[in-house]
Amino acid sequence: MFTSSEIARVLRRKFEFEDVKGKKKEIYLSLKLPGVEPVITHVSHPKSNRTTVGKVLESMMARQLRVETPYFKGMIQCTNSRDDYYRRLEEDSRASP
Amino acid sequence: MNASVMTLSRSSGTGSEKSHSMGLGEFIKLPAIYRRKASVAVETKLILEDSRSSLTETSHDLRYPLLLPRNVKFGNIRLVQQLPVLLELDDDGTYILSDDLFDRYGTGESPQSAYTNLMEDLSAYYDIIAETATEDYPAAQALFERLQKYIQPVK
Repeated sequence: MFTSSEIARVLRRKFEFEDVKGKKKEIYLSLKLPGVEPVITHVSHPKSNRTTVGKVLESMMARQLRVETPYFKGMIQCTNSRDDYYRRLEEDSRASP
Repeated sequence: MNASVMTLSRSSGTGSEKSHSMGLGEFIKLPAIYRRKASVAVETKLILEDSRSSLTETSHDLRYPLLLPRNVKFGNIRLVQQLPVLLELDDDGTYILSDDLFDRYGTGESPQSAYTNLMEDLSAYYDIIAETATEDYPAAQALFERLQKYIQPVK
């Protein structure tokens, strides 16, 4: 299980997501690739008495990144590369009408 | 927008529609097919009470399909079409309300607060996509067109 801040850090540093300015209440990260619909993910602040995100939330964040949950875990654990993720997004974009 | 306005009623499905408000704990005990009918009733009002105790006793694998009604206003947006959403209870006791069309979600310690958080998220998402959908980014424009079928700015 990961913490919200860990997820946000990896998405920023490794996958080059950018913070959406002006959204201060929650963390919004965006990725814009040519020919691919923008990926906008909402990293919810965890409650004060817990630090890790639950399974349902984990799967929601994976869906926002347009990958399956195991792949998402690989992204955060750094076993899936940025190039592979970008390639998946581009292939999915070409496959969808 | 007052989040407490989020309501649901069930329909008898006989033509002489009866509107019956119920709490989430009561609703979850209905047979699945009846729950589905109730959640797709058009003139519905959805009551999402914080009935966490009864929910956790009923199921630890809660998946509860609902429809956000048309014309709900929240902040700078309003829904112009019903939006299918799913209420789930995470393993740490957090309620998560998510939509399947745009993959947006809200979290909270009660269904009400998850709803408020989802509406805040949809509002923020609408603003972000509207700003991104420029002429030199056709993929974002296509997404914005889809989004506008469900969400419009409040004038």
